[in-house]
Amino acid sequence: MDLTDKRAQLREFVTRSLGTPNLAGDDDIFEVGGATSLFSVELVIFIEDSLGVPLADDDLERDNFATINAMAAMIDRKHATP
Amino acid sequence: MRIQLTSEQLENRSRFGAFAEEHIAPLAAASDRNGRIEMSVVKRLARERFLGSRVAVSFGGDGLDMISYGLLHEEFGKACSSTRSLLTVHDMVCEAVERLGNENMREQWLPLLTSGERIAAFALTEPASGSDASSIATTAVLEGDEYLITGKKTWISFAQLADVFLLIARDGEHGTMAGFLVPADTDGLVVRPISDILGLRGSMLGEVELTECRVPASSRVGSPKMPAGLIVATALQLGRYSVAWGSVAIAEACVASSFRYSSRRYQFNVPIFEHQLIRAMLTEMLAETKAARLLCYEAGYLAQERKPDAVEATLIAKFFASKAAARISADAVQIHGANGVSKNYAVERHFRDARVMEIIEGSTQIQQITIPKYGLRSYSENR
Ligand SMILES: Cc1cc2nc3c(=O)[nH]c(=O)nc-3n(C[C@H](O)[C@H](O)[C@H](O)COP(=O)(O)OP(=O)(O)OC[C@H]3O[C@@H](n4cnc5c(N)ncnc54)[C@H](O)[C@@H]3O)c2cc1C
Repeated sequence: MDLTDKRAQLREFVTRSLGTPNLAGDDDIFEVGGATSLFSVELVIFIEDSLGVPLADDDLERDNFATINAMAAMIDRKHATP
Repeated sequence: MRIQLTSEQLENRSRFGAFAEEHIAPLAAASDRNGRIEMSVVKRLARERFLGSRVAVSFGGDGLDMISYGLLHEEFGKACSSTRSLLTVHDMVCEAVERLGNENMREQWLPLLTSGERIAAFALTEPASGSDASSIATTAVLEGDEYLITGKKTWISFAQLADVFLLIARDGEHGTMAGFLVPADTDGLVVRPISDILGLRGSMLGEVELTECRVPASSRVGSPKMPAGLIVATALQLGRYSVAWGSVAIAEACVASSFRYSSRRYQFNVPIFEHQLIRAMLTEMLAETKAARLLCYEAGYLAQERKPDAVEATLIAKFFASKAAARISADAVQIHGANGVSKNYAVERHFRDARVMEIIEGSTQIQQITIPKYGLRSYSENR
């Protein structure tokens, strides 16, 4: 799966899960999207296992998960330096 | 599609069942009566590596797959729900440390937890904060390189036994929920036993009061910047799965006892099994037990495959199985007649234990609030 696919799948997963098709890339999902702590668990599993991007201890920060763009940027970074 | 246990899972199930029959079942009634489980049982659980069994082998665990882990809870739960519940809370702490703790914490704590040298409990609930966990008032304030923790926890399973608590507190700086490993012998920490409860009587409940308890900053599980509630949700995800299986266990034990009893007990010159109304109850009990187990298998399969859908499947499995256990155990008491309310049969204990399953790890009502949100994902028009 290339980076563009990963970004698209991430967007699809987040908007479908939160029922917010119009969520903007910079909207804070924990505020606008109403993401719960259970959703954080799903999100971590999705990024690690469905997208195949292993997360390190210090990746698990709110700022990395707050918006679709932040998550995509984290995935990009990890792609560049696996 | 194939619903079939692997040979390893079948072997695990027989091993768990044999252990439970030999070492847990004989002590279950006494545990219930005395409100405790024996240290000899805890030691044996540790020796056989049943504590922290999900943890990776490199940290001393058994790296048990999720289906085997469910079978462990079914086999142990059929014998004694209180003993089974020790695995739930201890393993929730292992799960949080393994998934969210840093390398130092894993290396320090996991071998101690998997060897049973330290028993862990999970402390979230407070006198004024139950279902609404986000309202906890216990605070953790960073002072230099230590956190100062103050607050009161209650209804904590195995608080009387635990050497260490995964304690959930509000971070004084960010206001978010944070988890800390707090040793039970920390200055300022007092445990007060809670006894004489209705069900899970052997689970050594306690209230835990903390007055300016100091723990090193490194006791915090995960980064201070972690998404709010991830620590609690991660631990509860495993806890909920185990409680779903524990509910199947109660249901299965009640079904088995009801078939045996109804075949032996004669009224109106026939075994009561021959009476259609008894068969009607047995049919419901059997079907619901199998349905609950299938939901648990689905949740376990999805979790093992690391699919995000495991979260929803686990909520549904726990919701259905805990309600089923409550209904089935009530019918089991009915089928056993006066014997059903006596100590002559374990269904009386299972009936009381089943009541608890609908309250812990997200009550039935909380599941009824949460599960429809997942339904909307699947069925909403703008999907
Ligand atoms: C045997 C036992 C062991 C336990 N072990 C632990 C442990 O190890 N660690 C720990 O932290 N806690 C533990 N608990 C506590 C348990 O997690 C709580 O009891 C549970 O979260 C429910 O909280 P509560 O009892 O305060 O009930 P409340 O939250 O006060 O709920 C009371 C009733 O109101 C309902 N209700 C609440 N909110 C709503 C709503 N929004 N809509 C509709 N109905 C609602 C509930 O479903 C329930 O029926 C244990 C409890 C028991 C009984």
